[in-house]
Amino acid sequence: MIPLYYNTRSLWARRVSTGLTVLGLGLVVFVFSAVLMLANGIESALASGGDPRNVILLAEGATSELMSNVERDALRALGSAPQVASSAEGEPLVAGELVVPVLLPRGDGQESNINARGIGPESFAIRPTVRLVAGRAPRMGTNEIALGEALVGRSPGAHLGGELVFAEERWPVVGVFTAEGGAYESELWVDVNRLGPAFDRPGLSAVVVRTSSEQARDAFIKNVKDDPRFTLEAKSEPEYWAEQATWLATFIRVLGLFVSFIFSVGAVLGAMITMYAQVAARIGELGLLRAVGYRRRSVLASILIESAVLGAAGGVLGALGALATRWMEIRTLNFQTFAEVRFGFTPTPGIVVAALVFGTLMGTLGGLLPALRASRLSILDALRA
Amino acid sequence: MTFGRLVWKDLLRNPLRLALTVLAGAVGVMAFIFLRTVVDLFYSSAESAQADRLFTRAKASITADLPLSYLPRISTVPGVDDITFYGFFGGRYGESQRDFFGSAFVDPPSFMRVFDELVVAPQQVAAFEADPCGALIGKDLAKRYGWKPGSRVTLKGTIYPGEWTFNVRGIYDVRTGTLDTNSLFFPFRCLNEKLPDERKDRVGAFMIRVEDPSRSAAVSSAVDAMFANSPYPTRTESERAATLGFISMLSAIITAVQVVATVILLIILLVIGNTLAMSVRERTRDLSTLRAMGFKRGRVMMLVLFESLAIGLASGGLGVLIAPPLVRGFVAVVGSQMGGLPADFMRESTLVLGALAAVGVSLLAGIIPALRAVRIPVAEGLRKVA
Amino acid sequence: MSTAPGQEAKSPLIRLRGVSKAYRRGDIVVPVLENVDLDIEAGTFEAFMGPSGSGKSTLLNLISGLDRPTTGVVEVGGQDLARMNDKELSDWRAGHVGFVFQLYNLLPVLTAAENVELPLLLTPLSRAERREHVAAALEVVGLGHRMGHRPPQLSGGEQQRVAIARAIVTDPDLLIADEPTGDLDRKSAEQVLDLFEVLHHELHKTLVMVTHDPHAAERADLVRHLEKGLLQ
Repeated sequence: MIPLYYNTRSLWARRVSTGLTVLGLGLVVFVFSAVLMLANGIESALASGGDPRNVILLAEGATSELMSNVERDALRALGSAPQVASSAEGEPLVAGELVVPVLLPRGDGQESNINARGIGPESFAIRPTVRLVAGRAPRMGTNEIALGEALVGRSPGAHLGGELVFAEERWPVVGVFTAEGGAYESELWVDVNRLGPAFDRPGLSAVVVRTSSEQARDAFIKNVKDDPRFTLEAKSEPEYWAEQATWLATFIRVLGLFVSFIFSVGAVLGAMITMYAQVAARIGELGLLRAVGYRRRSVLASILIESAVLGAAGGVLGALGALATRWMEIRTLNFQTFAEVRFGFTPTPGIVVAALVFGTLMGTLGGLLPALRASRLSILDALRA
Repeated sequence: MTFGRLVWKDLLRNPLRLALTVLAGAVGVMAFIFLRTVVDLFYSSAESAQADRLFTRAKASITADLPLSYLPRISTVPGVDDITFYGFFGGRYGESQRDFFGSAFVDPPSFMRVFDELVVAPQQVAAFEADPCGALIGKDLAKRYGWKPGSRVTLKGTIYPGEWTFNVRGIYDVRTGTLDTNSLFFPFRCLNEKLPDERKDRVGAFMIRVEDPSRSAAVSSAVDAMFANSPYPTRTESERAATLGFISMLSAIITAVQVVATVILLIILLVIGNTLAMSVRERTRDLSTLRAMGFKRGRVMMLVLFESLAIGLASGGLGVLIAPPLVRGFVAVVGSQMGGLPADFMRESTLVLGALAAVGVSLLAGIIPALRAVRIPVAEGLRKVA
Repeated sequence: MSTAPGQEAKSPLIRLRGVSKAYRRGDIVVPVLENVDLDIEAGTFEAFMGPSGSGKSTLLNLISGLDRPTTGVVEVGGQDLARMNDKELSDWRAGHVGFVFQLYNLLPVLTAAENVELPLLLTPLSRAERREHVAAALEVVGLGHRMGHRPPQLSGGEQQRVAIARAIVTDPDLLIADEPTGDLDRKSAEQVLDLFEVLHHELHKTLVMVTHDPHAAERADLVRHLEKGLLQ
């Protein structure tokens, strides 16, 4: 009932204090949102590497392609299953792939592990999200490689027309592809029959299959499970990739939320200091309002609302700052896949709302005790002050 | 009343505000220490890496093997004092993420010699070396699952398919160094015998002890030169270089954490600065009165800076006190979600850094208010209503 | 002729019976008013004078519902304020009293018009109706042209006049003034006192004022003196 413009103008009248507090709250909200956006970014990056109609088959018990060993002869049997879709040329869409981490020099003098994926002839067809944006697909039977877009420029020679050197051989780059931000974008693709021998790996990491529909996919997975010939684990690609992100995303979320929580305590204390000062400075005004007939709870509500406005301003500031990070990119090592992944900060409406709520909540919490004090003031003492 | 008493009374002018500011500062210091500790965690393994050990692995890829037959050849390289090998086994214990721990095959006698930071009871060492499928487990691992000598542990192989059972023969602790106490080691024999011929006799890496650490670079080059033209060329580097290399792959995360730690300092600066600004505003008339009486500018500034110093010391002290239990709490929480993490881990230098940061930031926060306090002409200041 | 109970021609608006007030300072009890009986008729302009500590301000606070007596009855317009709780007193003040303070007590971040509007926000009037009342009140005090200014932009006298406008805007029964000219120069003080006369004679308001200023006391119908908590 006490008009809102009284609160906003009072905050403005003490702008330095208000500003510093809003900045502090904003920083906390920023860290909070950025962390959530980062974890989200990791999950989307990795999860978008999967097509719901595709099935990936690993050695039983393997959690990752990296630690999985699959025999080549499984390929034919798997490819002949009825649920497997066919390519335009009538070939079954099945591919045996081998993933090997390769140590490549980075621009800054250090090195990173990059995943090299040995592919089969159908690998590109199996994955519609993977699209060549420059050059062409590597020819089978050669050392030609295609680079995921995230790798371009990361290492000397990592560009169209360039050449990478590893495992004592040369690998010319003939194409660049994108994969809608998924993990494949941080890989290099080459014929598995050239990659395997170069690393003395006769087998495969996984077999990938494209089924004709999601029901077919489920049937296929079930058949593989029941078939005694195979000691393989089958799961849909999206499920596989989501699992690969778990550790890193969880770590970032836990660390980030823990830190945000601690920060928020500091920010709430900061807001409390500011609001106590606001109340103290305006004790005469508040006394007047009570004299004129405003009830205690109107004064309580007014101060609470003022602190909520403070918090909301911090929330908006922090959220805007966090949204600005979406142009930033991070690359780091994902322990599960043991290779470098690139991801960014991915906002969602949910995160923005959470940020605003968090900011407002912090401000309101900070204003609680000062508001109580304001409502309990003795009118006579306040008027005399 | 002395100047000192004036300063003290002035400080306690608004005890509630002082307390809240100190608390906020302490929270910030705590968070700062916590984050620095996280960064230290990453670097600790590199820093405690042994200077006299080298690490030889396949040049081509981190997952590629080397032939066991390299071992006697490497031994002949001048400067090599002792050598052992190991390989990552990658066995799974339970179903969930949390049950993951490291497992590797080793050659027990040479392993115990080269990794002399391991602390194991002598009779357990003997038992481990005697049992072809015996296992040596870390003390944290033993604690987590309640395993003791005599327990049987079955792992599901991922890289080496099948079920593999080991008999726990010993529990190790580490004095210092890169090994954590959450791993399981077993003899190579147990695995190798059961592998098909084409996969036999291949190991992950060799660990070399050199006679003279200052010659590490030379020995590394010599080893690599030996196999440069073979089908499986090697890459040898000191343990420390290898760990630092690994850490650099995480550099983005580490940088992010460091940035956030700086942000905290900023927040503390803002909160303390806010309080000091308010405080100076209230005291303008009092401070001008002092100047009217003859106190020089410098002294008056000291009054303000003293308040900021007091806040800094109190925050720093409180923060340093609360930080260790907090870090322990975090490690416990994270550990329960994501498998074991190295236990107790706070460095004194980090605590000191935190306290210093608190004091430094507070003094910094006090400078502008202190300057404003003395900049106003005395006559004007005397008229100011708080 | 029978009359309704409690209603006589010119029955007192304000009735105090056996009113005492004491304050506690630590474990010392300081009596300020002792056993005061007082009648104030509606439509009168009364002044209380007396030395510091005589209890005149306390008396004012009791009459205006800002404080409650230790013992006794404080009846204003037939309602006993001594029996009301804080909420009831707040509501009562909103409907029945207008305040004029020595230091004006305007909200510096609000304009003159917004300050005057404050008591109206406690009523169910619509925004348009409120605006009318505010304009009218400011006209009465002669500051219609300064509606949009804020207190720091007004002189002391102008601020006090805005405060008076705020005090009358809800058309209360009772106007309470605590040292209204205490902080004003002679000319502004006269302007304020002229306004009080207008409110008294033309708008028939009941005015109760505490003052040290003999010029102010002159304008009142009746001056009462207090010494050490007792009416003379």
